[in-house]
Order: sequence, then structure tokens, then C-alpha cells
Amino acid sequence: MTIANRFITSTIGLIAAAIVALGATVALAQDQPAAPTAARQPESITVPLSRPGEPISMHIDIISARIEVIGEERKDVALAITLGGGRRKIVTPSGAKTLAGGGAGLEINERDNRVSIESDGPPNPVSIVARVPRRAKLDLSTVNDGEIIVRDIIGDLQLENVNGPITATNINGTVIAESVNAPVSVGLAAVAPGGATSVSTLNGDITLTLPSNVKTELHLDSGRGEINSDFELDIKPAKPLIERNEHRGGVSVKMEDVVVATVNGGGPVIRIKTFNGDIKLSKGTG
Amino acid sequence: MKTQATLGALAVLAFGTATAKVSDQKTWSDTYPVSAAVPKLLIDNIWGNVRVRSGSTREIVVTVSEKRSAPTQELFDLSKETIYLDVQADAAGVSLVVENPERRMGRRDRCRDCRVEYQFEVTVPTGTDVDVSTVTDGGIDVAGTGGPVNASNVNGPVAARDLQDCAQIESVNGAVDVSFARSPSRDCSIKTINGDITLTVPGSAGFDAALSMMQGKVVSEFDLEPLALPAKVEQRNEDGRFIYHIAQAAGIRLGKGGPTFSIESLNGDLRIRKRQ
Repeated sequence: MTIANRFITSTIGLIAAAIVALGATVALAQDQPAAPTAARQPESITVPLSRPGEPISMHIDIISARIEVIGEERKDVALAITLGGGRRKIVTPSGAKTLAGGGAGLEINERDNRVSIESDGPPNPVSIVARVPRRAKLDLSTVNDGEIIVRDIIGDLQLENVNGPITATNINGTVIAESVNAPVSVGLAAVAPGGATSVSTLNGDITLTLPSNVKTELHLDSGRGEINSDFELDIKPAKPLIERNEHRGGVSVKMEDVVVATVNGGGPVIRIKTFNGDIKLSKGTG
Repeated sequence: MKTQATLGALAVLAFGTATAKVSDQKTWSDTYPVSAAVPKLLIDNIWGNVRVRSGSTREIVVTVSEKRSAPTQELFDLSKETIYLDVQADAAGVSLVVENPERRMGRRDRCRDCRVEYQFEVTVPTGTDVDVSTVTDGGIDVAGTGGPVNASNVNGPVAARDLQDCAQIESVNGAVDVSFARSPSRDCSIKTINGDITLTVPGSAGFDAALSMMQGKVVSEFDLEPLALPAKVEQRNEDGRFIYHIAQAAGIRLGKGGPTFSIESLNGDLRIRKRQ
């Protein structure tokens, strides 16, 4: 699913959720108070790897999730999973009661050092904390009720979160991070030569932290926001980017007003784009 | 073993039309004495009903109605090799398994459009361990057998009534109706994908239940208390893959608790009723 489709889906979902929430509020007013349930403790699962000590890839695509992935010196994947949601109403002679749980579960697969986590039913919020080997390729995606946090990874990341923030720190690799309605913060320990890093959101600030000695070419599009930089930027002459796409029955032309700037003489390209938000370029160590 | 054929063979041959069919129907009864303290009944059916009741003797009495049909005489003859009833019986119990080896072994089905329906009517000694299943065009109906019950169906209902205990009662596309003659004392799994579940227990019964239900209502004639349950983690190794499944059921306690029932449904309601 593309992020645009997810956005449409999530918009419809949010409207539906709001209607459901309104209905639930009215219904709960007539029900007995929800019975107290013990705070959920995360469930720990250690997943052995087919090739311990070698790089892994991880794929997580869950509609409602808080996903945190931490790179460590380890030869397996340690998961702490908290399942939420699935609130179930049960009608009894003394009135309706609300139970927690009973919703969708998660299935975790490992094959040839590829780890995937998927939901097996309707979207209920989950929290996943994954401690993985530092050398990892990550493909993480969610839509609602969560955030994506990644740190200390050597490898390429693809991160999508429609209605929540993305925070990636101490990454040595390429990063493609996309949100629609939340801020995105990416901290690179090094800029990979020949890689393509792209950070974008529609409604939110973007913070990009780079090593102080980084050599890069930045393509910056802040829409209605400002660009604040700790780096001296060598701004290149303005040259609108024009994309021409031929479709059946017509041609569409897209023009983007992108600021192109080099840092420390230029290097691999990093694209940063927000529509309603500011862009902040920060110096990290290195 | 005593065998009694109650209906002779009926053969209908019709050729030369698009619906040409060869069929044969027969019914017979067998009686098998059993001496085990807990006799075992195993029925594994494909097409047709399975009905089990309890009797007063130490015998398992089986009445089988077989209807065999095929598009041609050649396939009809072939069907006798590819789809047949395998009967095993000894003092421990009776096994009635409809064998379809080609399909089971994933081979090309030489007997395409062949069909052999079996309708089973069985009487077992009270306390028998009953394990029965069918796949399509039939229902499972077990009542009052007095021992543990495993019952499953794929495309049809399952009714397991007047039980002492159950082990696993399930369907895929059908309603599941389970009732107990006394307070159950053993854990049991009750599930269906598309169908309602009705669970009937005496007013004095107590049990805990882990509910995993995606759609549908839960309606109880008992007052139930929410019960905090730990997440359930299952692990398996399949074709070189490590697979884990984690799920968080909604817990309820009826009465003072007791055995744990696992109740799962995707599209259907759950009704918990008091036995009258």
C-alpha cells in the first residue's frame, strides 16, 4: 500500500473511528463502568536467527502500532510485545460490561535472517520493542495510534508512519522516512555514498542531524515553513524541478521549487520535504 | 462383530445425458463389544452426518448408510478403490475412517466428481471417549455420551449436548452448540470461523474462558466477571521458519471459576445460557 493510499484509508478510518468513539461514549454512559483490568505487561519473545552473527532484515507492517527497533551487539532478535485494544462488550443480566483483549494477535516469522511481524486480524493497537543485531535492513510501517523509533542501526531503513512521528537516531545507512501528519527526525552517523536518503512529511517539522564534517548535497523543500541550519549552506542557483508524466489521454507536469545546497563541498544527495512545517538541520558528532 | 444388512444395494444406471450418473446405496449395522474402561470411538467422515448417542450395554453399535455415486460406471468402479470406509475394531474401541488416499497424499484425483456419502448412527457405552469429524454436507450431533468429546466439522454445524466434559469442539463454516449436563471439569476449546457459538451450562457451573472473537456479540444469561489473562505465545518450526504467534484473549469468569474454555469465533455471536 502506498503512503497516499494509506492516508486515504486512514482518513476514512479516522472518521469512522470518531463516529464509533462517539457511539461508544454514549453507550458507555448507559453501561456499567469498565471493569478494572491489570496493566498489560509486555510479552517477551526471543527469536533465534538462521544465520547468527550475519545481517538481518526486518519487516513490520501493522495498522496501529508503536514500533521501536534498537540495534545492539547480539545474535538474535528480542521482542517485547504488548497487545492492546480488542475491547469487547458483553451483555449480562446486570448490564453490559467491557472486557479488554480478545482482539487480533501477531504472527512473527523468521526465515533466512528475515524477520517479519504481521497482525492476523482487525487493527488493534500494539507496542513492539525489538532489540536486533546492529547490522539490519528495516522496513517499518504503521498508520495510526503509534510512532516509529529506530536507533543504533547500520543498514538501510524504510520507515512509514501516516499519523504519527518517526524518530531515527545514530543510523549509518540510507533512510527513507515518510509521514503525513507528524514530525520526522532523522540522525545520521554517516551519509552512505551512492545511497538515496529522503525524509518527508506533509504536516510536520523535519529535523535532520548530520555529522559536522558531512559532505552532502541537500534538496530542501519546506513548502510554507522555514529552513534553519547549523551548517553553512552553499545555495545553488534556483532551478525548479519539472516532472513530466504522460498518461493515457493527457500529460501532467509537476513543478517543485526546491532549494539545492551543498555542505562541505557536496556529496550524496539527501532530499527533505515538508509542506506545513519547518526544516531543521543540526550538527551531530563526527 | 455382528453384521446386519438392512437394505439391499440399489443401482441406478443412466447413460447418454450430461447428468449421467451411477449410484448405489446401502445400509448396514455392526455391533462391536468393547471391554476397555474408557472405550474409544473415532469417526473421520468426508460427506455426511455423524450422530452419536449413549447406550446401556458394553457395545458400540454402528449403523452406516453409504451412498456412492460417480459420473460414469468406470469412475464408479474406480471409486471403490479410491474412496472407502476403513473399519478397525477391538476391545479398546472402534475406528471408522473414510479413506481417500489420493487426495490425502496430494496426488491427482483420478476419481473426479466421485462422491461417497456416509451417514453414521452410533450408540456407545456411557463414558466413551468420542472423537468424530466430517467435512461437508453433514452435521455432527453428539449427545449424552458421558465421556470426553472431540467433534469437528468444516462446512456444517456441530452440536455436542448433555456432555460431562469436552476437549475440542469446532467448525469452520457452521454453528457450534455445546451444552453440559453437569458443571464441566476439564479444559475445552470451542471455536468456529463463520457461525454462532451457544454454550449452555448448569446454573451452578463455574469456569474461566479466554475469548478471541473478532465480530459479533457476546450475550450471557449469567453475570460474568472480567478476568485478566496473560498473552498466549505459541511457537512452531515450519519448513525452516521459526514462527511465533502471540494473542491476547479477553478473559471472563463464570461463578467461582473452574476449567478454562478457549472460545474463538471470527464472524458470529457467543451466547452463554443457563441449562433449564
